[in-house]
Amino acid sequence: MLDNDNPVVEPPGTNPENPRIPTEHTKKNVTARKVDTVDNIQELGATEIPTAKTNVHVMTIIGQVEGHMILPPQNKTTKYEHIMPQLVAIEQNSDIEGLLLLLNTVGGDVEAGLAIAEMIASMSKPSVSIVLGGGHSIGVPIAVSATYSYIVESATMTIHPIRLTGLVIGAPSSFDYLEKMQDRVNKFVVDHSSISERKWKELLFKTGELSRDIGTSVIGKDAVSYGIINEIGGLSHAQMKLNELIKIQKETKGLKQ
Amino acid sequence: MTLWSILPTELVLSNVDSPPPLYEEIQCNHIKLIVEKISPTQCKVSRLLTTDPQDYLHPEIQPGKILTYKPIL
Repeated sequence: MLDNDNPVVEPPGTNPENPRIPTEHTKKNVTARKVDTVDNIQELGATEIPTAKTNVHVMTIIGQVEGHMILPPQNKTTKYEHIMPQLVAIEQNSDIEGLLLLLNTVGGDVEAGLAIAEMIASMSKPSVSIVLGGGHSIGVPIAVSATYSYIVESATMTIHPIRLTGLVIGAPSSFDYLEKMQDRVNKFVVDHSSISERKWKELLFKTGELSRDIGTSVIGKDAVSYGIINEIGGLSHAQMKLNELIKIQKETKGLKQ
Repeated sequence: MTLWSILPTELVLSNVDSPPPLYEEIQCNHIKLIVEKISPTQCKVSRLLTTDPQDYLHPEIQPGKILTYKPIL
């Protein structure tokens, strides 16, 4: 069945400009699962090759958070319609016990971001987020939506007011609309982290920190000291915390029954 | 966006105006993939859309792998 007995190392010729060896191996990649099953029965006498199952699923929020508008393809985006069903699936699947959220986002659609944050916050399963690189603007509510949040020391979060870039606000109601939208974000962050509303607003409207905007760029340790993020830490910390949260969840469930 | 690189900016952004690659979503063995179409019958894996970390270990759908479309009979 296998042309290449080392499945990790691919034979040369997978380059589109130089398809020297158009192997069987590459040809059978996009096929129905049925074919795979038949192969497995023939070769191994089993319907399904056992794979390692993990109880923790991972979700990456990278680039722009994309909602109602499709952004030009050179933007790397995390799409609302991809994330939401995955969250539902994680909540429903009994084999999955926790969610690890990796954030490196520049911000994006406020409503899509808030929706993702609300979904994560309302999940019954424990979630842990890690802010890596940057978790800016709408990335802040998503980061705090997890049960427990981590930030690596080198990561930064830009906290600044919501605005419509490049548009002239023509009516007072637009101001009100923006203000209400800002209030929704403020309320979410204050409710889901230990920062006070006063401190949050102070960071939001600070002048002199950012060169082209008002607001603050909060770096790793500061995010923890302001109470936005729970702790400084990386992957191993997050994994350990998640295991701990899963254990607590199991114990409390056991008590209820 | 902030770029910090030893490469000159004009080199990094040299193809910024060229037509963007054509992406499409396909389903491959129950895993959703974002692929870049490179010919009518071939595509290159760009991203995996799955939350199961084990899905990222399949050698045949690693990002960059060329997949060939085949009619299902």
